[in-house]
Amino acid sequence: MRIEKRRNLFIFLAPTLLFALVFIAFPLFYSAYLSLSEYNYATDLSPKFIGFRGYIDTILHDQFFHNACINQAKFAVPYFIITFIISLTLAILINELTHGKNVFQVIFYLPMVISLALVGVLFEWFLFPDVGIFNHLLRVLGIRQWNIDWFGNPSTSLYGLVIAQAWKNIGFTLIILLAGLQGIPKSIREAAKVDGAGFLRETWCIILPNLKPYLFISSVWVLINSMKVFDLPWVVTQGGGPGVSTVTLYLYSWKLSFERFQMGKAAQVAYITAAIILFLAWGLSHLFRHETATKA
Amino acid sequence: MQRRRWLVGLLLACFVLSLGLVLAAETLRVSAPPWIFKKFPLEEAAQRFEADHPGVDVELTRVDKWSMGTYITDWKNGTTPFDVWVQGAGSMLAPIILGDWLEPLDDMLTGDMAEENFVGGFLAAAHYKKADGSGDYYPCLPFMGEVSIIGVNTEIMKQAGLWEDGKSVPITSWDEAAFFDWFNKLNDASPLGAHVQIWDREFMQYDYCGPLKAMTGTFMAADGKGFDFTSDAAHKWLTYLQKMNADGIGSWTISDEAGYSKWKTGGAGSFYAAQGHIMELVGITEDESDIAYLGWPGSDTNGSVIWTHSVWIPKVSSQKDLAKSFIREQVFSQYFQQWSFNNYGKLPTIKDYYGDGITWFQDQMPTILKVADASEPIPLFKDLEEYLDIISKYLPDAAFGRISVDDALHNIQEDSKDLDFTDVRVH
Repeated sequence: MRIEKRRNLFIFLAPTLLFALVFIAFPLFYSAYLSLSEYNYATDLSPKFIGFRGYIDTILHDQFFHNACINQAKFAVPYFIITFIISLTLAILINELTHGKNVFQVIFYLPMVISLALVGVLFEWFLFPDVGIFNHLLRVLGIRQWNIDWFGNPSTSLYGLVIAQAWKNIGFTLIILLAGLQGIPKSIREAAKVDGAGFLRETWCIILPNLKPYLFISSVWVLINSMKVFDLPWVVTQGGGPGVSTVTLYLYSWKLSFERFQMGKAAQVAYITAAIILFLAWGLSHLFRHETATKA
Repeated sequence: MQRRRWLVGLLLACFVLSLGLVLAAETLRVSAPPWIFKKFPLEEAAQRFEADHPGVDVELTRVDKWSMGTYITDWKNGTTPFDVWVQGAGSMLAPIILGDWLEPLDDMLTGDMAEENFVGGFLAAAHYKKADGSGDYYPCLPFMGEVSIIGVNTEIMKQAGLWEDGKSVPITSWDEAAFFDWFNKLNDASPLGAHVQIWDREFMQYDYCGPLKAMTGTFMAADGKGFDFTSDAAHKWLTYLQKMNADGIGSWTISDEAGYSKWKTGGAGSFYAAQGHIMELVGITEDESDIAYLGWPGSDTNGSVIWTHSVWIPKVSSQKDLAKSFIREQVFSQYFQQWSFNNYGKLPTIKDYYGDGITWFQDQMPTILKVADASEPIPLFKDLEEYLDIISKYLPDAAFGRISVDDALHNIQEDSKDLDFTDVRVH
């Protein structure tokens, strides 16, 4: 009976296991192997194993990797701060509403259903140099000196992308945080009010500490999104322009794979990016460790 | 009973006949990106080829996204999703030429397609060293040519006083005063600026190399390692570019679309781009006399930069003979080459096709041909992709005036000193 149960279990799990093996485990291990190899897909018959030499060379000597790291940081930091602060503020404010909570949730969640590429096109038009609405507004307001080609200027192009991606993703973080806020027992908040706490003090001492598990989940989500940036520079700044000012780590990995066909190096960049994400997520989990453990 | 036998026999015969026809029919798979379908009448070419070759079925595929990785995987497995690919410029083809994935087409250079019948540098753009070092060959053949040239808006030129005897007044020399005097005059009459250039990753090469070639006869470094980023001419041209932008004469864009938009509004005085793209203005104004062509000073003897779109056959194709017939009979036919020029300004690659049959810009053809004939393609360095990344990091910034000319020139040399500048083309 037990053997039959196990067999049935295996039969039912087999398709999923097979899928995971073929489409997850194999690419994972093969790309890990590639990252330890030198392999030009167009000219070499097979990968040549070089160990960690490729990683060392990429980290120490590849100027485009360094440039992509800097761009990634320039993107990730403001994106993380903007997305996190705006969605937290909005979540707290919406939670205070007595009427129309659902309407605001839907409004802020709507950009999430639009594809990121389309968001890029939308912002490209919005920030267009001569006919874009944003520049038109600046001219109307008399700030003509700010009427520039936002995506055409290496100093501003990356931040244009930050705004576009933040606009799209704020809704999701907001929903997570709002769910957390609605889970805070009203009795605690009322007790704080009775004790004379104002809105800001209540937010700082009651709401935020109780929200930490949700802050952790949403911060990890925002962090991952701040690192896996490909679609927007691909669509809006035509593959990382102007110059290389919007080439991010994933975009650089793609360029290495499909423009230069250096599969080994591309895999190295992808694994380094994954390692950075894991490291930062680990840091966040430590930051929120006590609270998540207590909550669990 | 006998009737039934007859019926069964008839059905069987029909089946065998259909099977025979299916087995006898040959299929030629031709792939191209959507813009080729627009600017080269491939559907008509396929119909004509099918009519000339009964039993041959031409299967056309529009490929939205160039996916070389996938094709190489197919070729490594001995299969191919197409027998002929119509399109392909230099840097795009370099990896598959280096990988030796393309069928040599040298045996096609006979008759009307003999080497001497091709225009100047167009055929040279398809002449490569073999990957194993055993000589050279033609892995692709250019069927459309593009030459970098200055297009001027004739109405604006007239208003600027740069029109004499029914012709545009050229820029007389590279002397700073003369150069900027010409552009300043044009600027006064141009609502959107005297001169438009696109500074994306592809066009920056032509923006930089074309004028250098006109000025000195070469855009290459003296030691052959990359483009010239050291000479006085290089310094001069980059300084002019900065000044043009700073003075509002030069209207630089970072995308094709923005550049074409500026030009197509009819408010820009001149546009440095492929002659075909310049002609697109006529699509808006519907009058070919709205455009005239000029070269940079010296380009009539020193030339400019050209590039081509080629047709090629994967080595693993099982329909090589049919593919070669299609290329010779249709892609290189006078009718199709001239159709492409007459409708979209794409230059024929065979010299004889510049005469009868050309329906517009006949008066401009001598200028275009003169520049094209003296021009040369951008070299295909082994590390071209990485080189372009380095250049695109500094050159557009210098053109826009965000970094100094000296810094840009120095940084490009410094960052690219370890690259492999072996040219995979034959010179």
